[in-house]
Amino acid sequence: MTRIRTFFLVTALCCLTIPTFALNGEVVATTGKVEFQNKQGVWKALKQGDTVLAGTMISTGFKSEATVKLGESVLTIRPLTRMTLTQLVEKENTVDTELYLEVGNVKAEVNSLNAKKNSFKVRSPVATASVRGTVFEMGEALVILRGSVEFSTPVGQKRTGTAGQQLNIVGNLVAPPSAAVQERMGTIALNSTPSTEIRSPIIATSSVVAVAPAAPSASGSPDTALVLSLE
Amino acid sequence: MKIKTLLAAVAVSALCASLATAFDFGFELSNKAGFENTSAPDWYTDHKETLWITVPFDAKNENSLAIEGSVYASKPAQGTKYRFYADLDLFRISLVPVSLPDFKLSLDMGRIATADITGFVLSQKIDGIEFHGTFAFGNIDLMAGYTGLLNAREGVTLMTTDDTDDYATESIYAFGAKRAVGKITLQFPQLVGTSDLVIEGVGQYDMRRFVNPAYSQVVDTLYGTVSLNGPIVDSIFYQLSGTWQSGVLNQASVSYSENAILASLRVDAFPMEGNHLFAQFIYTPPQSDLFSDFLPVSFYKAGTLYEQGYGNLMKASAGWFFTPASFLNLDLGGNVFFNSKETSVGSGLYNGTEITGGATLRLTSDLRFRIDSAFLFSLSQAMQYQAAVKAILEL
Repeated sequence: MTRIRTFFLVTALCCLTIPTFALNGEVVATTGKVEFQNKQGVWKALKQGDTVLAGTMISTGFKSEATVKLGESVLTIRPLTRMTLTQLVEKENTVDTELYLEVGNVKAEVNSLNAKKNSFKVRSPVATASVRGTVFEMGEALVILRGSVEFSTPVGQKRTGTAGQQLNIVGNLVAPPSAAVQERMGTIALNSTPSTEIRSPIIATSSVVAVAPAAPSASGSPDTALVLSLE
Repeated sequence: MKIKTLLAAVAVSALCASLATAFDFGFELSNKAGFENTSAPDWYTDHKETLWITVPFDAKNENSLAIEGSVYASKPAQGTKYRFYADLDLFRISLVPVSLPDFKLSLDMGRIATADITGFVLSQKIDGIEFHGTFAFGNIDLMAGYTGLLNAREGVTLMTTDDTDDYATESIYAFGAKRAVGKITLQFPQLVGTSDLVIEGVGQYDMRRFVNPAYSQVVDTLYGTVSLNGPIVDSIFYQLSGTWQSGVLNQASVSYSENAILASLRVDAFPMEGNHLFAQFIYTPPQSDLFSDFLPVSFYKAGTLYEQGYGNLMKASAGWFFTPASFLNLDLGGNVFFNSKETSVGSGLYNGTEITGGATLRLTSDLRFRIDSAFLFSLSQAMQYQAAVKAILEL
């Protein structure tokens, strides 16, 4: 009876255990001042051919850039960036990669390793981008170059963007792609007093031309303003 | 005792010093002068001097106080006298009472600015409180306020003849329409494919029946709006909305139903860097057994020179915004006005065409100019036109 129980226990444990292998990243190229922080907390130069382990913090200086291969994915760390590779593991069916982008900008080309699904996440203090098979660039905004990316805020509100779109963080929200396009128009706000600020997250993210409550303008319709002030 | 007094003085001085370094303030002068020919040619001018101050209560500026006040002077076209009034534009206390990992609640209270999702129903100042809730599933706004303490001279809340009478005053400050206004808005990002769904309810109750029993009209209305907005392709976006209005207007011993709808479709395209095109169509039905004219809480004209509001209207608009340089915006637009149903005044549905053009120039970071021009080719009147230049200086 004890043998049978042990046999079932071992079988169950075998079924439940998922093989997990830690992967290392490899520095493909660097330009300018690129450093990493070792276990003793000392900053050292990062060179082509160096190995990047999970937990490594990387920093790039002015006019400096690094390209790191993470499995089959390629990460380009832009100038004036500080980020940490928090996870890089190969599981039975997926390859999990996670970065913490403290400041700056990274471009990621996410490719499949051993025909497995990619779970590639870039977290920042204000948002998380989650992707499967795509090319994107993330800094203060998320620019999707290929595929699709799910962008979420710490509150958990999500938007999915597709190739060619840019998603911005406005306050606690991921603004729709129209907000980024409108912002690039460079519209000159005629008034910039506090009463022209749009305080409602819904109004700020619901239309291309946000409605600012105001007195009637010369056009006989509410003035429009592009002053978004959301916490 | 002396030590206590000294410590208190030091504490007060430290508080004043920290506030003095944190707060922000400014002065804005807005001066506009123009010429128009609607019924007869004449010039007009508008001047507004605004003083504002913001005081943050924390380093992240999440909790803050903002105060803004203005004095106005204007000489309308066809008028000979200058009109003066003063207003408290804003007294807003902003707080974030709850900030949890999966939920955030912020609020604005005092004299605040508010608007409905379309901008056609409500877009004005109000004395009240507005909550903004951010959840994982979407956002909720909840607002309650009163319009009776606003300066009637602003002339936005014009729903009854009594409201219009309030507006027609020469007082520096006259209390406006006495309405209790409430609003609830729910937004669900990317609920329908890549489109956001917004559901909104706005209601206003005429308090004039309690404040001034010698009224001639009172009107109570409710508005329900459903709106969808999102991308069609990468650089083309749409916003489709439908608003149902339901209400009752009481005049003497007679009651009238105030039921109406307003449907709007707007498409915005950004074909090249610095170029923005839009097209919009708005529809409100004519008066019938079922419908009356659309009666919004905040009244705005449907055009620049076109004087009427959004009743019995089909309006097709198109426009182009162009940014040739970072300091210059150009815009060109057109509106074609039709009646939804032929009126007794004219034959056919066509009412007129309006062409507008303008430019915004940022000369320095503190000095901006705006040039506006408009032409109205009305079916029943001779061509009307207007041209104005506005200068805004920040100090």
